[in-house]
This record gives sequence, structure tokens and C-alpha cells, in this order.
Amino acid sequence: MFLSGLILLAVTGFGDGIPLSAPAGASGNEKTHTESSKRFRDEVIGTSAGGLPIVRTSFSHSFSPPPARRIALIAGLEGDRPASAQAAKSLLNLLKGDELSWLPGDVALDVFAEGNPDGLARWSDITTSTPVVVMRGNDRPVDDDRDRLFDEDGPEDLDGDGHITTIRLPDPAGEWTPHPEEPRLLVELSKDLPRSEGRFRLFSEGTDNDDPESGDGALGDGLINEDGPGGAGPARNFPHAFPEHLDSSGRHPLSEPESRSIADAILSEAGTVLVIALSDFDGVRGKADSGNPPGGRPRKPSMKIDPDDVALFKELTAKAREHLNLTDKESRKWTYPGGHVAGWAYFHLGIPAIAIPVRSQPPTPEGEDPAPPGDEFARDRAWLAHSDLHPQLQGFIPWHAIENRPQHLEGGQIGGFRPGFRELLRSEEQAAWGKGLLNLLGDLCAELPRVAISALSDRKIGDGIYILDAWVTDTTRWPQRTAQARRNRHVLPGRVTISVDGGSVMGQGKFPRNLAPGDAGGVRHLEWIINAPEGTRVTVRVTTELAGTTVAEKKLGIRREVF
Amino acid sequence: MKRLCLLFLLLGPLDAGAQDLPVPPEVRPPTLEMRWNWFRDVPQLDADLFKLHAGFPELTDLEEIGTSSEGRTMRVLTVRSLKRGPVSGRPAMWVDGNVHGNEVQGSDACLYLAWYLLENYGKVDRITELVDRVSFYILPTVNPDGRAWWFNAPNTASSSRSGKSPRDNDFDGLLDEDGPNDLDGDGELLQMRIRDPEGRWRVSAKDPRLMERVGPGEKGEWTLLGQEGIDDDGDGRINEDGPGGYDMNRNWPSFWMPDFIQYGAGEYPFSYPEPRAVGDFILARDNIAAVQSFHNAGGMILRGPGVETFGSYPSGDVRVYDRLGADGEAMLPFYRYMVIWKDLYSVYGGFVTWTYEHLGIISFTNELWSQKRLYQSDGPVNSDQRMKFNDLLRSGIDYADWKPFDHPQYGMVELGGWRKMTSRVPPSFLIEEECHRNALFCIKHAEEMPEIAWLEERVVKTPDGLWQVDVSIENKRWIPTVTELARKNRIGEPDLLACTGDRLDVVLAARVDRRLPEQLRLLKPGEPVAGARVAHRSDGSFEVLDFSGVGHDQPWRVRLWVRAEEGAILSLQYRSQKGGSISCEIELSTSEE
Repeated sequence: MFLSGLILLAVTGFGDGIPLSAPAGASGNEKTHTESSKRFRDEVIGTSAGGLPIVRTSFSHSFSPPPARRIALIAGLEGDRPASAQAAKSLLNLLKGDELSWLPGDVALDVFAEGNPDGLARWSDITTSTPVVVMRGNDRPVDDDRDRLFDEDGPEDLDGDGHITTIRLPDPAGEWTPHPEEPRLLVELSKDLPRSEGRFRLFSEGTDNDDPESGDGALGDGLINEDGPGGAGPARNFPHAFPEHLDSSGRHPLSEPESRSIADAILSEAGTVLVIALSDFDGVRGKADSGNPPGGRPRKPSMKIDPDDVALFKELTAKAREHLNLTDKESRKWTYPGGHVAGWAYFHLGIPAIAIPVRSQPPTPEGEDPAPPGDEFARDRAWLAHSDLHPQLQGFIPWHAIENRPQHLEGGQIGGFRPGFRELLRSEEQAAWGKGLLNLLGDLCAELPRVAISALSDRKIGDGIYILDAWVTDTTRWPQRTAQARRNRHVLPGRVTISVDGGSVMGQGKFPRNLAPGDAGGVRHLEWIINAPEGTRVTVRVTTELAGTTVAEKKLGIRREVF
Repeated sequence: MKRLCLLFLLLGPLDAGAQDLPVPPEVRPPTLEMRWNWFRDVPQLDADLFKLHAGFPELTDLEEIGTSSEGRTMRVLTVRSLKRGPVSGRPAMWVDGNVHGNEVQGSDACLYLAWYLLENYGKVDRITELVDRVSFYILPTVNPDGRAWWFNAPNTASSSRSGKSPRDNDFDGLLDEDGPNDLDGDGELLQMRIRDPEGRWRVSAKDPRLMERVGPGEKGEWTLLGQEGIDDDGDGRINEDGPGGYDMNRNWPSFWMPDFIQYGAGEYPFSYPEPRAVGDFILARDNIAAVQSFHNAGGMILRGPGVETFGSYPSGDVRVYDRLGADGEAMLPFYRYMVIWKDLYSVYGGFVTWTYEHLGIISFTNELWSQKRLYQSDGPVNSDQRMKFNDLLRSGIDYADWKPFDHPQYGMVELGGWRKMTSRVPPSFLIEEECHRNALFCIKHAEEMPEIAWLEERVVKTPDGLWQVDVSIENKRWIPTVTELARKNRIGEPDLLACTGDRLDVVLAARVDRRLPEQLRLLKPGEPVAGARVAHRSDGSFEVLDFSGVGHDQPWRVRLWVRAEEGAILSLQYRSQKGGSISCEIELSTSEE
């Protein structure tokens, strides 16, 4: 639904979007398309509150047997922030035409591009005369204002211009004022800012729909747009630090079908090595807040990254910044917000998880610096400049009086940024995100942990008695299990099995439970005493959940090592 | 002013069907004969649910609410009368048992509650009035798989607590690969002991069947090896990964914590099908105003919080808990009213903490059965005492004498000890008493679900021509229509007074202070005043929405100003999610009646 809307968007030229899903093999090369379809599969993993399919698109060189390891990329959980889904869709298009040469043979990439199909579907209205009613959550009605009515007072297009923008209403107690340098933009009152044109209340375009006599305004429930469509959303519905008693987070962790479907899909597949969340939360700039959890028996999961995982997070986030052109001039400390999918993946499951913020950025004229991250006024000012430069985009609707206003909107004006102008990625941004994500994935896959049996040898110590030595090596730089995974006991330790054709194992060294070397490049020595004739075939198998499986064999007493 | 009619839509006595002189159960044959001196396995439990439903079809509904991990059907029996309208509009109590598979008597207590209500409806006024006013949703077993395994397989009193979804408890990548084994094939799971000159146990001097721990510096002769079993997977450990291996009473959403903090919690709240089925059922019924869950054992009436970090429950709600808890202690010998984390242990993600902390429902867990009842003593229970009562009152059937067995890993061991039908469950001759006392505790709890009624209406015409209508509503029961926690956390919907009528217009409303009736708090649209606000609806009605609800001994008072002609009829309806609904019509008239 969302997809088709954006295709139309490009066709109509409304806004600046591009078609997101040019079919795989868009060149018309049928062979490419066929090959690609062997490498990816779409699977409906659930149904949204509004009845739309929740889809996982998986990429792998082979699905039979099922890939032992997986990477999950999740986007589009926030219905009011469609950019992350656009970026994921752009990636999907590239992947469907890609040879996947960068993807290890035992790894699948699972892309959940539209985590909140209900919320994203709202944006399809942008190509029609129906105004877009932005909704962060899904279609499950919530009685936001606790008046026993559901979704009875949402925003409306009062001036009939096809957009739901903003109303500014003069109010001595209002907290917004026009910025002295750019009075079209309103900023929150603060001590540092001189008072300009007075004070306003700001809210979405709409009236008190509980008012039985619209136009009077003395009645109703006195609230405007306080109970719009939908409500609960999957974006903060995951179990870690779940925000309780907040309608927008849902009634309980994973209460929403979208988040539960995604969680179930991740949990049902063993070996998820990495989670990438595209969202409105920025977990790649600044520093991950780290610290040891309190001693003793834990009472709740930590909110701080384990100090032993900080180096890994630094590297992951640096790669994300590098490939996605996200500048890092921030010194803020961050941790995942409560209920966020990345926080759940790391703190509960021990999976390395990065939360990448996807936002459309205002074009920067040549020679000018882009608005610094976090400076929302500078950003909006740049958007305004872009709108002024391209009036056909109708990016900013000038403030104008409300005609035929109800009493409670007396003196109010409608105006502000058109929905979608700032929220939707432009075509060049979308392409850049797709390419950047593809490069990032390639780079990350090269670093995925991988164990190998680097040497396997034997020593004869008696007649038919051998000591077999094996060295298991982590050939990559990242740990097989995060410190958090070891604490959580959520990722199995590596296991070693040995089989001796026609002989027996008399004894073995004391294998640690976490067999595989935790440190990058680490080596672990294992040994067995074996009673078998010379030439007996011995097979050693190392199985890990996140670093793959490796097998080596040799014949006892014969020098050549076979890997 | 004339009150034209005071119409109780859902509440208030109608034809209670009570007789002049109730016949005590001791001298009348039951309508439906059922035995209360045995424990039912799952098929027998199901059969008796169907029997109750078939025996009292006009007072019950029987519905399937879900399926267990192993495919067993979960059935809720609803006990209600339809004399005063549909079930959804009246307070209801949820009662369940046996979330832990081995805690079997909770199911029988559930069944007994249903039977007692049905059997006495129309015969005992108290029960008739209660069933006419409220409903009971009764799920005898939350964990039918665990129950079935406990009955059908060798077990101890404490095993088969879990559900039966396979789990990797020892973190070796294998599921349920090393559970206990009935080594000698006698159908029992007993203890193993091995002779050991350095052991810490010896045969008791008082009774050679019993073992006693040796003192410091003394030499023992036996080591106890735990439950019957072998090392099934060759990892050097015994019985470390048995069937299931989780705790469905840690799988509920309030203060849920992952497995590494709370053992057995599951992947996320409601991840197991049984809690999810219960959760879906309860979340779909906002009229549930009381919850009781039956466990065993120890003789406890438990309430939350489950963990210290929650903090305290609001004082108003604690007063309700305390009153019910005190009654429970009086009704249940050797039971104590306790706070879970403080007096027992910490529980993250528990059921009754969820129903209170997330749903605002006064909720108890009873740990059924205290051995002190058997011994009639409040002191500590020791093995000698147990054995004495086993011999005198149980004819020795609870204890298996030790017998030798050649263990594949340990060599010669002995098997013996207490059998499963001991310690955590009452003996057959006390089952009915245990069920009865706990069922009547439920009935007391159910009686205290909110019951609202009009207390007073007064109409005065003001000099400026408006009608001033004072309305007050009382709650006759202990549990408020909105608990304090629900109010604090905006749980559920507020109570609502809907005012309608032809040719009239409610223009203003104010809350009236009980002690200072002239001190009015004008209510406004939008902005709550003392938890209340008003709204004009598009159908012309006027509403007062109030999250403070109606508490016991705290009548809810409001003053309305109405613009209307003489003789107009003002219709009022007070609706409460957990307290039901009442209606009345008031004639706005200066003539007194």
C-alpha cells in the first residue's frame, strides 16, 4: 500500500519521491530476475492490526538447508517517520538485483522493511486529494482521552487545501513564539529568545470533534485532536525497559501484532548475529552509555552497554556513520529508549544491535554547511529555504486565517510544513541510503565472527594410544558472543564433538563451557586421548551459534593434516 | 421533584428465588452429585466441567479459550444468571488454578466453587443474590499439560511444575534430553541414596525409614543423590534438563524480566500459549473486578507487589486488600495473609501482580494447603511427625521403603522416600474442607466487588430559571469502582454519568464535597478538575467523566444545572466498567411528591 503510494508519488511529481520498488532485474533481463528469486524470498510473518501483511524478505545464497546465521534489518516501525521504510525499500531493490557476493554462504539477511504497515499506509494518501492523517502507531483504536469513545477526534483539513498542517492559536499562556529572524517558524519560548510577535498554542489542523455544534465551540470536550486514529505502535513495544501505562507503547510488551511478529521471526531462527534498526532513534552518533551492571543478582536488565562490548559498538557505529554519511560532531551519551527493538536485541538477547537514524535532510546550497544534527531550528530554516527556492513543491503553506472557523479557533491561523515535505526521502537520498546500507552490510559481513580449526595433529604415546590436539581459532576480529550474551545465557557456547571410526576416546581435556575463543583472533587448545589403530579416521566438529560450524578430520599416525 | 422510576438495569434485587427457610446441605440431597475427596486428572476434570454445564445450562457457559502446548483444550466455565442483563455489563471475578502442573488441588477448588454456586443458587439467598449480581469466570487448570504429566507419569510432589514446551535448561543445545527416570519401573519417582562413609546422612535412630543429617564432626553413612534418574546425555550430570523447565507464572507482563533475571520467564510476556489464552480472555473483559488464583502449598493468601522495586501499592487499595486478607485468615486455618516479595520471595512477571498492576484489579494468590492443618499444630513440622501421621491417618501409604537398585552410573544405590501425593496436597479426607474454605473466600471477595446505587437526588429551581439537580451515588462494597492504582495510571475507562433528555440542556456540572456541600468544584470540558471533566456529545447528551470512581463510604456527588421547561424528564445513567450500570429518570418539577 505504502509502496504503491510512493510509486504514484513519483509519477505525479508531487513531492520528490522515487519509485521504490523497480522490479528486480529492472533492465528486463529475465535471467537476472530468475536468479535473484532463488536468492530471496518474501514471507508474510503476520498481519497488522489493520489487516495488512507484515513481510520479511530474506536473502541468502541458499535456503536449503536453512542458513545457520542471520542478520536482521528492521525498518518502518514508526508510522509517522516513513523515511526508514523508504531506505529499506531502496536497499531491497538493490539486493534483489545483487549477486550477494559479500554475503557469507551460511548467512541470511532478513529485511523487515515495513514494520508498521498500517502507519506507513497512511502516506499513500499523499498522492490523492485525501489529506494524509499521520499516525505513529497501528490501526488498533485506542481511547487516548479516556472518554469511552475511540478515535473520535482526529485532525482535519479545515481549509480544504488537501493537507493537514498546523494551527497556531493566539494564547497568552501559549508556549510558542515566532522566531525573531524567521517569523514563519515558531520556536518554544525560552529565556534566551526575545519575545517576538506574541505567544501561540500549536496543534495539528483540526477542531474539537466532540463539539455537537461545530461553529459554536463552547461545547464539545474542550480538546482538539486529542483522540486521533490508531494509537498503539510497535516502535516502543519491545520488552526491554518497556514503557508501562503509555498508550502509544501498547498494553504490554509485544502486545501489538507487528512487533510480536518481528520478535517471533527473530526468535524462531537460531543464530541472529546482528540487528540493524532503521528508526528515528540515533544510536550511531555520540557515545554509547556504558557501565557495569550492579553487582549481585540482577534485578533488571542494564540500560548501559557492557564495557566489554563498547569496542564492538564503537566499530559498528563508526562503520554506519562512514557508509551512511552521518557526521559525528556530538558528544552526547545515548542508550536505547525503552521498548526499542535494538535495545531488546542487545540487552535481552545479547545480539549486537545498531539503531540508525533515517531522516530526510534539507538540501544544502553549495558552499554552505548543513544544519548541525540536533539543531532543529537550523534544519527547519534550511527546509524553508528549500521550499522558497522551489515553490512548486509547496513545502511550506503560508500562515493564513481560518475561514468559517468555530469559536474555539478564533484568531487562529493555518500553515506550516506540508506533510511529507520533510518526512519523505527525496529520490537522491533514497538511492544514497540504499547504496550506503548495501555497502555497510558488505563491510559488516566481512567482520562476522567465524571459527576455524587451524590445526589438528596427533602424538603417539603407546601402542594404539594417541593424543589428538586441535587448535580452534577465531579468524575474525569481533567476539563470537557479546559480554551481554554471556551474561544473558542467550547465545549457546560453542560445542565440540569428536568421532573416531572404529576406536574410542579414553579421555579429554576439561573443555570450558564457552569453548570458542571469545577474543578476536583468539586460539583455544583442545586435546583427547584416543585408543584406535593407526590410520583410524578422526573427525572433530566445532559448532557455534553465531560463528558458524567447522569440521576437520585426520587419520591417526599419518602426518598430513586435513581441514 | 418526582423521581419517576428508579430503574436498576443490572443491579438490585429482582426475583431472587429464595425460599423462606433454607434447607441446610447436610440434610438435602444435592441437585448434582459430585465427589470432593479426590483429585481429578485432566479428562476427569473436563468431564466434570461438562457435567456442571449440562446440569445447570441456564446458569453457565462453557467456552474454549485456547490450546496448550501439547494441544489440550483450555475451558472456562462462566457462572452467571441472566436475570439482570448480559454478563458484560456486570462485575465479574476471574478464578483459576493449577498454573503449576503439580499444584493440582487448585483445580478442584475452582470446580468446587462453581459447583457450590450452582448447587446453592435458588436455595441460599446469599448465593442467589450474588450470582444474580456478578459473574464468575472459572478456569480450573491453566496448565493442563503439566497436570496431565503429573498424574500420568512418575513424579514427585514438586515435579511437573512447568508446561511442556521443550526447553534447553542446561544450555547445551538439546531440549529436555535429561529428565528424571523411573529406574525400577514401579511408576514412582523416589529419592536415591548411596552408601558413603563420608556421607552427611544416616538412618534415623527413631525410625529406620527416615534419614537424618549428621551433626558437625560426626560421620554419616549415606549420601542423598536426589531424584531417581541417570545421566541420559553423558554430560556428567543427572536430571538437569527434564520436560519443560520453565514457569508460566513468570510469563505475565507486569515487571516481566528475561530468563537471566527471572528463571522460567520465557522469551517475552505471554510467549507461552496458556498465559496468552488467559491474557486474551481477561484483556477482552474490562468488567473483571476481582481475581483469585489457586496454587499450592503453604497456607498463604498472597498479594503483590512481587518485587521490592515496584514500591508500595496505594494505601486506599491496600486497605481493601487488608480487609479481605483478614477475612481470609479467619476463614482459612493456618493460612497467613502475606506480601509476595516481602514475606515469600521475589516474583517477576507473576499473574496476580499483572492483574492488579496493569489492570487495576484486586487480586490474590492462595497457596492451598498447610500440613499444619493435618497435624493441628502451628509449630514447625518435622519428619517424625510426618511419619507418625502417615502411619496413623494414612495407613502408611505416603512413604516408600528403601530398596536396592543397581544404577548404571553410581553402582548400587537405594530408592525410597516420600511419594508424590504428600506434603503439597491435602489427604483425601481434607480435600473438601480445603476446597470449601477457599471457594468461600472467593465468594467473599466477589461480594465485595463494587455495587453502585443511587443514594439521593434533589431538584431545586434557581432564581435564574435553571434546574439545580444534586445527584449522589454510593458503592455498597469494599472495592471501589476504580482502584486507586487504576486512577493513578489511567488504567481502563473512567466512570461516566450520562445525562440525556428531550427539550433540556445540561449547561454546567460541579463536584460536591461531601463535608462541605457548598464548596463546589466546577467541571470543565478538557481540563480535569479533581479527576473529573465534562463533555457535550454530538447527540446532545452531556457527560461527566470521572476517574476517581466511587469508593466504599465515599459517595460520589455531583450538581447539574439544567435548562428545561417545567416537567421535562432528565435521564441519568451511571456506568462503571467494574461496577456495572444504573439508571434513573428525574422529572424537573417544582411540585413535591
